[in-house]
Amino acid sequence: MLAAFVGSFVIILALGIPIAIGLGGSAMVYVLMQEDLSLTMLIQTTFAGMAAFPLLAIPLFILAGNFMSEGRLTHDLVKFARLLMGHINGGLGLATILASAIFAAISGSAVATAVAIGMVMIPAMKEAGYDEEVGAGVTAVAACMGPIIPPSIPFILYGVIANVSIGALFLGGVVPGLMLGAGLMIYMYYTAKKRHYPLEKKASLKELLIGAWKALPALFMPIIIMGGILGGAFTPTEAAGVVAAYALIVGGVFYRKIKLRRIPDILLNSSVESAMVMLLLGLSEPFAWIIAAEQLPQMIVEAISHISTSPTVVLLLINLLLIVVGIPLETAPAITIVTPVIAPMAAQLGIDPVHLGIVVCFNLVLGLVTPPVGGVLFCICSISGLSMERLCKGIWVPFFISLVVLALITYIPALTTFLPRALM
Amino acid sequence: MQILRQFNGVLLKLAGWAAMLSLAAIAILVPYEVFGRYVIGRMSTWTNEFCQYAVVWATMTGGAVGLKRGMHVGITTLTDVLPPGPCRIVKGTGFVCMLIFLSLMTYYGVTQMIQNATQQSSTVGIPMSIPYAAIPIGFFIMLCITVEQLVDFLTAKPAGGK
Repeated sequence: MLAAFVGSFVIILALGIPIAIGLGGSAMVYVLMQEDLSLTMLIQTTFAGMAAFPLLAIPLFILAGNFMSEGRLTHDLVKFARLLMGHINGGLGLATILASAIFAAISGSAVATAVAIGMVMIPAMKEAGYDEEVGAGVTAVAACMGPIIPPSIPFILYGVIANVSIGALFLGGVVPGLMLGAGLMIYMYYTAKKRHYPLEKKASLKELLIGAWKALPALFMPIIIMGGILGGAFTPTEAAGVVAAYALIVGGVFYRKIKLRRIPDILLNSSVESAMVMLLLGLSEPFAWIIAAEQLPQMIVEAISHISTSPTVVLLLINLLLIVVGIPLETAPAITIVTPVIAPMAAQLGIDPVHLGIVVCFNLVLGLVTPPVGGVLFCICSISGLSMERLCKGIWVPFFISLVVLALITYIPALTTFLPRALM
Repeated sequence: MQILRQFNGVLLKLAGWAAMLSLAAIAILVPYEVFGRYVIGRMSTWTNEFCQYAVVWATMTGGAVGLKRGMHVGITTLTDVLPPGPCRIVKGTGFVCMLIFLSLMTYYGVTQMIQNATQQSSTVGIPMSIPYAAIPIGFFIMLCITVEQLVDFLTAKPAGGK
């Protein structure tokens, strides 16, 4: 029975049809083979998978991000980062990383971060004389901070499927995200020094203050999100709603960049973008139910226990498996597929669920920049006009840095568990 | 064929409106609830449940629009490497699988909706058929789009196929 279920899933995916339908389709094959189950069960579980309050955060964060882009809030953010870092070695690269980190604290998506920051900074770096591969490579990996630094769509997905506190996952992502940013900054600094990239003129205090004032509305958003969640003022979903309203008011009323007649379009596009993720999630619900009913995680744990029972080895195996899974799959479908299998293993193996969740999400987010395919790679290629081959030349070192961070957070659980334990 | 295209055009327009209005309702009600709690000091009981149903509507109708726009991610590794002949067979099989899945989901979605007609939602107080209706409606629109895409696929010149 299990073989038919897994087999049908693999075959359906190979046909190239949408993964969401593959998830539902293999669940349908399974239900049709069981005499005592009706297909209405598929409808009920799919409905239950979508109608959950924490999930409302996904469309709302996407909407907030789109309002931000439309309202040009990112522009001022990037300018400010440039004023702050421009005069240091590799300053434009450092500014790209800093702006990505701040944008990451507003948006929960890597592709959105890559587009928002890359559009401005990749041409700027090229103009200043940076090697194109280096600039594009750093921008691509820096965009991975998007879903690691809270808020994060992958963390929301993982939290809902694995039943782990989304607030704790958000907090746990702060340190790994900053580590990735710091690692990239060190790389950028030394590369720029070695290759003699030009420096920008140091900004005066007045320029800095004006820049900070202009960027203030955007800088204020992470404070609303994390401050509100941590202070217990609101849930992650409500934070998303408040930030969406805030972005609309700032972009529409203060900057007057969001036109009234554009709002229906922005709403529709955000709704469609989030539906891509939500539909996956809804249809993964019966899929996850079947995985649990067939006790697949227990079987895998048993198989692994023949090799080793030490969490060190198991985590290594999980990481290797996920890197392979992440190459062809985008983050959201990968999380909906692997979480029902992997999350129950944590409890049995004595791994902290928040720690495991962050390792899984971090790993799968890297799938977006693992050559030769990945959502962020494609989008950086189209922004920079570089071919995939040339971009890949620039991506190896930053990618290796992200793997080092992954290894560190895998084997030093305190890096991910310290903040949630201290603050929640 | 022309009729199908026009029909789908109308369906997609309606789906787009539903997706947009559902998200608009969520984007208004969620911050309103926070505002209500801290500023007015009053909480409504129905908004959470209402938003959960609205997101189901947004997902199913938005998913249909996304299917038309080709936004759903699939794994095209196999179809990319196959020569045109076998590739057509694989893609055709994919269409058939989608049609079966979408038809069954539409049919059982309607069945489930009818079963829920007498059941009231806990706080909003509407029959549960209304939120559940999003599922068969969404899958039905996706079904119509897939039929249109299949017809296009079959009538396209085989040699010109990618």
